[in-house]
Amino acid sequence: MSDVRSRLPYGVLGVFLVLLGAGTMLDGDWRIRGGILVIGGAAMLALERRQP
Amino acid sequence: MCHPWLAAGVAGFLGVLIVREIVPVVRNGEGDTPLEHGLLGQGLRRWFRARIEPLVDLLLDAGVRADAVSAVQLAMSGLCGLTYARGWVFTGGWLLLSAGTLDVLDGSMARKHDAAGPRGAFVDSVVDRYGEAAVFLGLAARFRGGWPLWAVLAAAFGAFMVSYTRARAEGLGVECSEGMLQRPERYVLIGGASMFGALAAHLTCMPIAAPALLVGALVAVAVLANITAVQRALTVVRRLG
Repeated sequence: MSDVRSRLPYGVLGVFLVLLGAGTMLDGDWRIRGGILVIGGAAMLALERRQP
Repeated sequence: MCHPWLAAGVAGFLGVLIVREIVPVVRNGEGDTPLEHGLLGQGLRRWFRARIEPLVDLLLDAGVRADAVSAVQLAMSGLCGLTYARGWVFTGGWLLLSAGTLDVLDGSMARKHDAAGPRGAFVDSVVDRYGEAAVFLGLAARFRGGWPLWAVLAAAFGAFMVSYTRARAEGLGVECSEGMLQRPERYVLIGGASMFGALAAHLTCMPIAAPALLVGALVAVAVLANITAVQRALTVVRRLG
């Protein structure tokens, strides 16, 4: 179980958030809310790259 | 309003994902997989299951049950229907693909947790049907008043018939899981066309591109899903002798 905790699926969640944020910006012109989701997703993708 | 630069960024992001993740799977995959086992092929299905495996472990470790994931899948499908009805094509497509991911996730969780059984299978099937109905209702609302509504209705009917033929066959004791356009293929076709159509619309500043690609995908689903249902029906008739 500790293996699971040490390797969290940041990549999957990051891609989900980036594309959801991009969608809200493209479709609804929600720049701030969409931007927050994109930045959150990008941070998760960065965490994924830092994992062993 | 069109956002060509944002769309270009998203297209680049998706392009990197596809080239890094999916192209090697398709290149090394089984070109010999028969079409009757689904247009996506076994290689892509296996890759996808392997990719979400850490999420399965994490959720089980956190004490989340497969039923809870099914409930989130249903909520996400409802949200997807609402976004389509509102004309948010890119978001609708992405939520559809995400709901499809949760559909695979709950099944994997149930199997890994030894909770897979008739109850789980029944709940999963009911949730899947309501989820699909929510998506098709949203699409019907989006295209009401025009001919694409007929494509939505035919696609919805075909999708339900694909599931019904299998369920009825299994009720009669006949295994029938083949068919070129099963649920994952429907999700990928409609969701992918929605996302790429919306991107094309923003890149070219031609809003017609989004509904055009989506309607094309719906027509394809309408035709292929009904062919799949007939294909399954003929297989069952043959097996029943």
